Amino acid sequence: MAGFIYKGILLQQQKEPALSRQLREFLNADMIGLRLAREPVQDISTLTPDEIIDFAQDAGVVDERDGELLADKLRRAREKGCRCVVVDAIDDEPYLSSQINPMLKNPHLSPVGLTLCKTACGASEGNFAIYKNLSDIETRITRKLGDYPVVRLRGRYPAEYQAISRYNQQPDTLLVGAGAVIHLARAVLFGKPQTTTFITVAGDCISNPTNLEVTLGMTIAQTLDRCGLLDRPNRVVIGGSMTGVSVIDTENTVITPTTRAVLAFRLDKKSYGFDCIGCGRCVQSCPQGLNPFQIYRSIRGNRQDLMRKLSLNDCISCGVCSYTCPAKLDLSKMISDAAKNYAVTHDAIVKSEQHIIDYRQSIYRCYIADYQFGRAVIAHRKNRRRLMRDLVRWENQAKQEHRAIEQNIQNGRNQASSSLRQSEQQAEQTLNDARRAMQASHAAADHALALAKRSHEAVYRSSDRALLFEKRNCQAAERKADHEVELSTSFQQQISAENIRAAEKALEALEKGKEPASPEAIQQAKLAIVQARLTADAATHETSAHAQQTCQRVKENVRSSLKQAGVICEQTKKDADQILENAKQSHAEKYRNAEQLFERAKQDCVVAKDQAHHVYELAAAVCDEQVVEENTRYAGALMRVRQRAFAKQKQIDDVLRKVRLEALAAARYAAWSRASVTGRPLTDADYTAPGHLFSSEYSLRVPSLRIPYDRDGYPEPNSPIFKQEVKSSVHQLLQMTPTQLAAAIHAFETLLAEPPAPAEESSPVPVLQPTAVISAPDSQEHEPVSQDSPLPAIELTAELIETSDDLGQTAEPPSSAKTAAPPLVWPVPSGSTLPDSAKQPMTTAACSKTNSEEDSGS
Amino acid sequence: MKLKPSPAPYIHFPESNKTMMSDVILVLCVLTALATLFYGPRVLLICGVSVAAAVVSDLVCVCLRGRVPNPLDFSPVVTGMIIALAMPATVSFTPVITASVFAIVIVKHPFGGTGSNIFNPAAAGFSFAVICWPQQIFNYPMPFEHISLAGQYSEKALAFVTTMNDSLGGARTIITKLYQNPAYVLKLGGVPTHKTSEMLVGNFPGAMGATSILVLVACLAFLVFRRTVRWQLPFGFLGTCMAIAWLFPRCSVTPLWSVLYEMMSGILLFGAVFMLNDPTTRPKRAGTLFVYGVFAGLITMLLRYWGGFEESVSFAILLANAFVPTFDRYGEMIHFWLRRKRLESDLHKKTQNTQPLV
Repeated sequence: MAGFIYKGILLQQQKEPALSRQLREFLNADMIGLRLAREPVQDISTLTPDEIIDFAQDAGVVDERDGELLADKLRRAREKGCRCVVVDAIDDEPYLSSQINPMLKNPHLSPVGLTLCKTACGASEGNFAIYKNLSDIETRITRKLGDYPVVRLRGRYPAEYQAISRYNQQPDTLLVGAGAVIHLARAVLFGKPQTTTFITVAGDCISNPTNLEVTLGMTIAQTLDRCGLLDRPNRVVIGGSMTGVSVIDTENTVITPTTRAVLAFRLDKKSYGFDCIGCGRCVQSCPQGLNPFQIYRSIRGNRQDLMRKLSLNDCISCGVCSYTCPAKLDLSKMISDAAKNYAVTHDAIVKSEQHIIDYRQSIYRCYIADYQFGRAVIAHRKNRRRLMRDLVRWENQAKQEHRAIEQNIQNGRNQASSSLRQSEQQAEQTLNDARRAMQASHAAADHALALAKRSHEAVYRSSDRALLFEKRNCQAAERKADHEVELSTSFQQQISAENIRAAEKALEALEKGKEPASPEAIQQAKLAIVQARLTADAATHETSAHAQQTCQRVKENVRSSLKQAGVICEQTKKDADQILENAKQSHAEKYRNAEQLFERAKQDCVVAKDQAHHVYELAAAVCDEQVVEENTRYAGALMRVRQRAFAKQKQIDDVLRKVRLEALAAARYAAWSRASVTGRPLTDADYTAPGHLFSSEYSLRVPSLRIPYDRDGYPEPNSPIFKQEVKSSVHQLLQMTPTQLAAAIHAFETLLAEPPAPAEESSPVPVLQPTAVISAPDSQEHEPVSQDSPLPAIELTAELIETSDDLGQTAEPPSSAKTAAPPLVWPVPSGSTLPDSAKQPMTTAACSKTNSEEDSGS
Repeated sequence: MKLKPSPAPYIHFPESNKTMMSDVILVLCVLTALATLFYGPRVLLICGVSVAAAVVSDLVCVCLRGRVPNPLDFSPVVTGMIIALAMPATVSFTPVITASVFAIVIVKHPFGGTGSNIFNPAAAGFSFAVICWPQQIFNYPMPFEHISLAGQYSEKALAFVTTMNDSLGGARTIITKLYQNPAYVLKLGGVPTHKTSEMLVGNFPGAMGATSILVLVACLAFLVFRRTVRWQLPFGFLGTCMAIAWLFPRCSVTPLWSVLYEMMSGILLFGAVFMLNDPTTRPKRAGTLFVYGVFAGLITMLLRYWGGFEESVSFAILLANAFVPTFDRYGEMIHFWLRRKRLESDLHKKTQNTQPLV
């Protein structure tokens, strides 16, 4: 069963006849009488542990199992505390019985020795341990020896190893060799020091195999002679047949306290010339569960890497593999030698491998860190650019806002002025209207007057004309009447004439007629003619009288009407004069009225203008107030934007600095690990230039540390960041005067558009001289400025000094670096009086000063 | 007395490579004797030819490799005998010699000779012969039929033809009929008609050494007892084969009969005893051996069920041999891990006490 759990082999024990024989003595006579200085003690119960340990010390008892002084073991066990003492008599190797035989043959001494050991280390239990698997034993092993039980261990061959490892797992067990126990008992009881040891002399060349008590210092040859040799042995072994050491020179090899057997063999190990056929018996039987077959192969192939996997160091050199190997290979020796070599080289290999792995890892980490730093630099650059764009955008936003507000204010002002103008115009308008109304009324009045005059004249003229007309009518009527008279007269005359003529004609016609006119008719006709002449004269006369009369009447009528008409004329003239007078009066009155109205309108206009002016002045005052307010607000907004940008910039820079520090640390660690691999000490170059690490073998793979700044860690003056800084500082400078701002910006843009002078050429780049590095073209100007204004707004001093410190010597403390470097002043090329403008608003004088300076600068 | 130093241990196990090979040869000799009883002296002739071919080619190869020939190395003898006994008694000499020479020259020595070959030479040689002359090898005579030494295998007649001159001077032709092994029947899906008792003693057409099942089992027991064969391997192999035959019978019989027929047909048991247990090509650890056996059994049954040939143990063994280093490596990994665990537990136990007392 044990063989099933523990591997190993069953060996033919060959302990007989030595085991069953009596223990024999082979002593040096000089040693027999030796006694200890102290008195032997018969009653061992009286002894204290210290006394026992002293006995063991004085007697020089050596534990044959491990060659240690028994006294030391006991003392140590006593200090530590011990529960059980086990007397180890496990002779599991063939031929070997040098522990069990003395133990069994000295039944009075071994329990005493165990008792002494128990007392010495204060244990409560004690027993003997014996390897039971003695197939050929004739000796009866008692169940008890003295008062102590005898524990029988069974199992296959490396049984002692298994037993010991099992006991070792119990913390409070002390294993003592059987021989040492007997020697301790002898020392206590008889006062004998240890001058002898128990050995087994056996082997196929020994004629008389037996267990001997041999005086220390005997040679092997003497021992062999004592037991007799059958044949000349070709192998003499000290120790067990499985694990012993073969003796080269028997005459010069002596018996020591740890010698447990002397074996002489004639066993001729035949060399069949077999090679391993891989039967696997060694694997099957290895008590440690190793694979000697694979180990053998790996040793032959010198596969050091496999040895660890195959647990070469677990080999206990029990020799089982060699024993079982059907090809008779010296597996055990080969494996134990390899294990020794491996154990020696293992640590070194492991350590150097560790170093190499460390180095490789550090190189890898360095590479990664460098790569990350490169990425961080790119990201930083991007972020800076983005930030600057953001800043410009924010400022533009603020500016636009500002402009919008300004526009608003301006609009208000314009509106006020336009309303003023409008009201003025309105007033003018009303005035003009009034004037026009006045003029109109004047004109109307004039017109009315003129009309009146004209009507007056017309009345005059018409009345005159009527009068004249009357007169003419009168004259005409007179003339007509006269004429009528004449006419009627003439007419009457004519009628009379005609009647006469008609009467004459009729006489003539009768006279001259063909028929001679009757003289009656001629008388008649002459009568008619005389009648007609008479009537004609009468009619003429009457008519003229009549006509004279009517003429006279008409003339009178006409004269009266003319007189009347004269009167009427006079009357109308008088009326017309009256009307004219009235018109004149009303005209004057109208004039007066209109002028009065105009005067009033004039007054109104003046009042309105005054009022409008007043309103405009009020509005202008409000606008001015708003402008001031807006300017302060704009200044504040710019300040905030700047602060935000600076905070963000600081953040970005912090990230970069962190990554950079990590990269530097990785590079430095890689340098250290390389130094530990190569054995070359670290030099200053390793510290100062981390990129040096990759100069030779890794230069292709690892890019050097890319730094966007110059060598001391400051931004280059040509960089857009720097320009942006300058620009923004100008913003800040002129923030109180927005109108000047645009001009100044323009001026600076023109300034910056010029190719800037290379700063690195001007400065020879010494370590830690930041001001020299950042010297702008006009560095003399802003030096005194930096003295009188400490620049709270733009201060990257500390940060940059810190970053510059990374590149410097590590031995140099950062404080000294800070003190060594003057505080960095951000260069402002011409806008010299910068900053505190947020706290103290700039005066006009200052404005003008800056303006002038700026002009001079630009 | 001045002596030469020598390493421990000073006593040795009496067995050696020679004894291991001798065990196998002994067992194979028993089988040969039994086959001689069944098939007559031609068996001895075939075995002799095979062994001679193997030994001679081995000698030549060893010499070619610049090594000293070891007269105590019996492994070519074993190879030759296994190859011979896996063949029918009527086989002509060409396949036998070819198989032996192939086994030694192609399979064994190019990999480093005895102890270093990856594939089992006997299985490889037999497989080669099977591929080259399948009809000749898979047609067997009935036991106790007349098989003369002078006879010839006839390809056309598919029989063993012996032409002998009788006393009158006329030629007389004796034709020994050849039969199929039960494996062929199983392959076709039929049920073998042989009696079980007859099969157990080997009285049915089959390979020379592979028919007497009882003797083979006894051989296996002997080898296991001698520790030349480790029980895990045939246990795993035969157990897998039996399990598969039990679970998936090929013919319409009860599982038990299926198992019996599968075990007794072909050279399965013979291969399990002699080819599979080649110490060189098998894994080294017990657990690995078992896994290897199961794997080989699985492949064997797969090839039997779906393979081209009726008998494919040798092919399966060759295929499994290819995986032995893998099995070994993983076995070692597991054992390494186990050792680690044990050491850790020991360390844990030891750290509980402050100091070891011994």
